[in-house]
Amino acid sequence: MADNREFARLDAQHRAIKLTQGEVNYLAPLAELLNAESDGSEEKVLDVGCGSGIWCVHLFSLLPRNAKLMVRITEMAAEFPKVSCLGVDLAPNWSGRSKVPSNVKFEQCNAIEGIPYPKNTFVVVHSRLLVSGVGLLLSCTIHH
Amino acid sequence: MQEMVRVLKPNGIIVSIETSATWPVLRNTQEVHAVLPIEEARARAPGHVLFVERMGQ
Repeated sequence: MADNREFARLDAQHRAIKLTQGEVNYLAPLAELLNAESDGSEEKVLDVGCGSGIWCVHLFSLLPRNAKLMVRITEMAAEFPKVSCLGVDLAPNWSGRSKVPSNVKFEQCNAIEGIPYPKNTFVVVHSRLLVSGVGLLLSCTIHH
Repeated sequence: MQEMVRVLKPNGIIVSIETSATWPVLRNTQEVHAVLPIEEARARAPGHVLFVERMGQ
């Protein structure tokens, strides 16, 4: 079970990574993919091992933390109006966040045992520094 | 990794930031064509693409 101190560390880690990426939440061509794949149905992004959930919330939030962030997040919300984001983690993490946008939700699951969704569900699957926390992932990838 | 691929739509993208120690492992997976430009990666592996974001780039 992660506590508030761990969530604060994960949030700080997120900000550090974001800083190294030039203050953006992703470098992959997500906008291109999500816009191209949009067929009117709700597109889905999955964050595996979402930790404090800050990536999901920052990426899709309509409620920015500060004015500097507002332009970028407003742009993101406008860019992905039909996108929903699901964060899953071994530890429940969402209860501490009061401002979670309606298109973001969190579930508790062990991704190694299985992600409780059908195949071909998500357009984007995101993970960060998962291997350092999930030893079994290494054996899964080596023997795949 | 298998679960991530299973729930991913065809032509979807797995986006990951991992440590440099992970790279040898990632390179050994069938799904990883990551360090390539995205167009080349898609051409090599239509279906699943793992796009690894390296910190500092």
